[in-house]
Amino acid sequence: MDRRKFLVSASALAGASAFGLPRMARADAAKTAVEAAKQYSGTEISIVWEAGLQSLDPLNFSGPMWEEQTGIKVKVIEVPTAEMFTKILQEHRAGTGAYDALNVIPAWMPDLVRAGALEPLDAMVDKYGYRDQLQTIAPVYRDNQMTVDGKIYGFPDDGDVFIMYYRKDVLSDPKIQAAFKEKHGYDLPVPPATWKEFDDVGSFISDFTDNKPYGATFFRDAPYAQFMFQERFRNEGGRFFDADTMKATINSDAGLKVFNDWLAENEWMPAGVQTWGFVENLAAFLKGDSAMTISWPPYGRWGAGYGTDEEALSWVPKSQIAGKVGYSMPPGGHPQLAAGFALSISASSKQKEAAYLFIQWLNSEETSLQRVQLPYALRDPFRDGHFESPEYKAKWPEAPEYLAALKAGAINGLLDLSLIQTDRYEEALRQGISRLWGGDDPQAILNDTAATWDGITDKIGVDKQKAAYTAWASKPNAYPS
Amino acid sequence: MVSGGGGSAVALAPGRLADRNFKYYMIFPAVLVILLIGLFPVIYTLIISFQNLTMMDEDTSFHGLMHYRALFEDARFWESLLHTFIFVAVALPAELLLGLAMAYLFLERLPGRQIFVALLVLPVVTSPIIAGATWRLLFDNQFGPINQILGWFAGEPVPIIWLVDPNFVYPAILIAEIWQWTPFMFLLLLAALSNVDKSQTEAAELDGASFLRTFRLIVLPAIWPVMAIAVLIRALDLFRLFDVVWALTRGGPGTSTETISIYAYVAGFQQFETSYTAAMAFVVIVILAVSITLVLRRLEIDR
Amino acid sequence: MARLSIRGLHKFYGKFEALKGIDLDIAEGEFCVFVGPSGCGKSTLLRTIAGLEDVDDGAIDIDGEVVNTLRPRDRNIAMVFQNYALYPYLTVFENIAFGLRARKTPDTQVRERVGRAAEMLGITALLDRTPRQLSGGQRQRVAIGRAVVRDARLFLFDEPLSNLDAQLRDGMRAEIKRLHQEIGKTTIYVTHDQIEAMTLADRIVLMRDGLIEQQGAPLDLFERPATRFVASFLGSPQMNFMPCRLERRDGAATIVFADGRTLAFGAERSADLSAHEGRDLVIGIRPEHMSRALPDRPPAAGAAPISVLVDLVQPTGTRTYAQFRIGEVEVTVELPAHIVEHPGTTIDLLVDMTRVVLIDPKTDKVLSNGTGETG
Repeated sequence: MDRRKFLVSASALAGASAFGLPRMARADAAKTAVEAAKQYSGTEISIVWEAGLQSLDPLNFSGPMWEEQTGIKVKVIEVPTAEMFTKILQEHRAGTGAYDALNVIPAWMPDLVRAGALEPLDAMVDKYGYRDQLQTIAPVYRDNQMTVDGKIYGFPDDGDVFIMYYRKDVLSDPKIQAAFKEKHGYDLPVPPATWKEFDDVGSFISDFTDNKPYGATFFRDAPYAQFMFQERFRNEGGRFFDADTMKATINSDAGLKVFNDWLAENEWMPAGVQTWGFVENLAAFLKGDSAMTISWPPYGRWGAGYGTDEEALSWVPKSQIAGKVGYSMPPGGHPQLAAGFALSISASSKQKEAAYLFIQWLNSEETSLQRVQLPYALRDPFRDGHFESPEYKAKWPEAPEYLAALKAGAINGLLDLSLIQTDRYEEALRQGISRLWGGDDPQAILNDTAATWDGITDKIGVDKQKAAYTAWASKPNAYPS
Repeated sequence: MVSGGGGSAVALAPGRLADRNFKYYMIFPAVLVILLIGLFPVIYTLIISFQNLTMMDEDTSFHGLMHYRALFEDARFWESLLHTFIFVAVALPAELLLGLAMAYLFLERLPGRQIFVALLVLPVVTSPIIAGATWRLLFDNQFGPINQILGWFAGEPVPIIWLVDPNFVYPAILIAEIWQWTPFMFLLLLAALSNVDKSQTEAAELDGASFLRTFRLIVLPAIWPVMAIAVLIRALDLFRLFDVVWALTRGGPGTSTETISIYAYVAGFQQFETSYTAAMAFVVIVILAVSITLVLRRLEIDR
Repeated sequence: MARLSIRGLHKFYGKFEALKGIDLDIAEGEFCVFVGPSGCGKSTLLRTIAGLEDVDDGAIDIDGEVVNTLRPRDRNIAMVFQNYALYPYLTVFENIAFGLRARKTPDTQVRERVGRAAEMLGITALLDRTPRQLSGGQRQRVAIGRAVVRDARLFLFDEPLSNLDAQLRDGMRAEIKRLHQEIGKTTIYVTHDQIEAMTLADRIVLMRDGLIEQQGAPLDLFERPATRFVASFLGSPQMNFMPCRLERRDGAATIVFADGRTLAFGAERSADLSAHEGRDLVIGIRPEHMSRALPDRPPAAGAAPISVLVDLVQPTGTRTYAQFRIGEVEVTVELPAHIVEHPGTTIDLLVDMTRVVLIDPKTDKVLSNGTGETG
């Protein structure tokens, strides 16, 4: 603890004791930011945000609130997910200073840092006394999505994790239970804990109910399925690379098993499930057409009917399944911490200080708790306090179970692969998946993908990449322990 | 106007010379600007392609033909070039023939002709990415009307997964592409056909010539300049085909529908292999420049 | 060679009825001219014969065969278009040979026939050129060559001379007439020019508003028009029409104008006209049927004197036209070239009352034609 931090903590403690509120010290992070930001009143800062629902947070909620408190206008630059990396890097190369604050997908953070696009935040974190509140971010995000080479480049701001959602009413249906046991010789597990069980249960339900509902549905479109692959591959014991030679080992038995299981699952899932993304799968699940699925946290909220009366969510099918949904870890027990967002500052920003204060305020315990409860904004709980929030737990009857599942996910979760030029590896994987749906031989695809990965590694430099991989793989959440 | 010597002729000579050059002085600034706009990017691309700019490195030292060599061995590059050629080779004749057929149809007086022409032109004014997105919905195997309509004919549900099944991705993309750009051909050819002297075709008809003979000897030569330009424009557009493919398949499954533009975009702006992409762009520029020059020369001879 | 017979032909363009029931017979080898003002349907009629326009009702019969549903190429008709319609990307030779080649004529025959046609039209030297390199008259010859080279049974000409300048037109007109005399094919010729019609035709078909107004030999039409329209259309300058009243005075049928001036008929026509006495009529007098009264010579029988005040004089070289007014109507008289008066002088004219026509102003029908012959 350095001197400054000590002083801040001390004064905070003093303030807290004066009001008799022990948590007051942390709430100050938001207040501190607001107070310090007032000197920039009348200016405008920009923030890059994922286009669509995500942007409603700064557009409708946090942006206007910040402006009211500080007089600083917030200009939201909406960018589709797939282009965020490109735009941020392009802007940085051009050096226009058009972007001040940024939303950054953590897996890309190292690449952006290496390209010099992100501003290190340590100095400002200390200056504005934010270290304490960073400590209350759930450890998996705090330890893995905040720093590059020991320096802070972003505040983890979105607890993205794949949760399994299952229909308690369907899986516990006595008729299904009895028939399942007769066929498979063991009690139908609620919920299934392994992929073997999952496939047994899923195929059985599809068969037994004549696809009303389907045993399970997934998103299979490559950009989404790529995350599913990373998760399942590792839960099946797969390793991305040989730690010694840095040769890709994605074409191992684990990889082949995932691909073959996927193909087998498609047989009892809806025709055309290969093209399904977030929305198609969501619609099927909310309509009650699917007994099990795996996805990001909003499925849980909307499935419970929370906030779906909002105008912004009018496109979301009305939930037919409220009260019937159970939440658990996906089979294997280690969910993908898929994507997520961290708040960063552009290295070419001309208003770093004001932008920093904005993201500190956004990310602070006080503000973030409100933001993760916005029904439409897709920001998911990422702080210890979010999981335990009595306010949140009261939102719908099963909310406590939901938050418990998210918290468990944050503990057991698996990090997205993050190397040098991660996207090139992911692109090869995405292409492999789309080839799988196109009917190519799974082993051949995996061999090609591995070869492509090796090619990329060679080009980047085996030693350089090996160092990056080793650093990543040494994190506790890189592989199931 | 050759005057028989004398002072006036001598005095005129320098003036006439100045006049002759004057027009060049007048167009010089415009030519210069066009050259700068046109040539600068090409030269800049060429220079970058000899350097080694990547996402991480701003290495501007001279690397010779390194990227060209890599390009030569890059199967994905050659495949994307091949895919591009396939799209051009199928879509171009299809758009030409369909456009021509439609133009012939609309040459006659039809009730509601103007409304139909206006409707037919709508695809052209639609942004390609939006057209692509719309086709994506149309081709949706679950909610899309195409499978539904095919199902009515087949008498049973048609489960074609258009944008995933390798047998159907090319047809799907080509349908969308041809749908969007046939009206362009149609419009130009309709204008060209309307300008063909009707009495010439009538004379040919009275002379006993068949439709094909009339078309070959009378109509085709008349519309040839317009048609050639239309084909050239479309060929160039098709060579740069991006939006529709991007909206429908993003080049997938795998890279099986990836065009040169998509590969260049991915390499240049998603992976920031700047120099490598510059080399790719330069090779494409060379290919296009050579083929256009050949085509234009051909046109000149024919005229 | 062919006979053409048309019965009850109707043609609509949308709601507009272009042909309102045409009945027409053209004999073998006849040179028939469709004439009339623009929009009268003459070109439409020609195009329906060629097959370039569909027919809505009626029958077109060539040599006893109804050809309504036959495509143009199967009718074996040759046509010369107003704008020549030469094929711009083919040489003159290939232009002329086009129809022969389309019918797969052997090459030697093509050469021979094209050569003959070119010789006949004096364009042998032009065979290697393209239409672009030809003058208007030369193009016209090529267009005619393209028609005559084929052994068509019917020749159609659609205003073929209207794009030529006046001098060329006279020459070509004579050539077309000569050509017809040489090959003697049934020919239909459309024009809006009454001089062309008069000079070329064996028979004139004068059309108006989609109907045949009158048909017959040129002089027949000229001398015995059935309607005011026919009377006015043929002849240049136009026939003069003046409202008048027919009365009997001094035992003779007499034209009385509003200003009181009179023109008396001779005894012969007076008798015929008794039925119309007391009626308001229109009198038609051709400019050439008035002449200067010579003081030393008594007027011919049936000539009526009238004094007029000349207000405009137009010499043309061969003849001089003088204009005067009768009532509100401007009247033209054709006089010998050198009998020129200054405007403002009064002259005495003699009207040849044997040639004037009397028209019913209500129906525009001619009630009484002149008895004399043009001479």
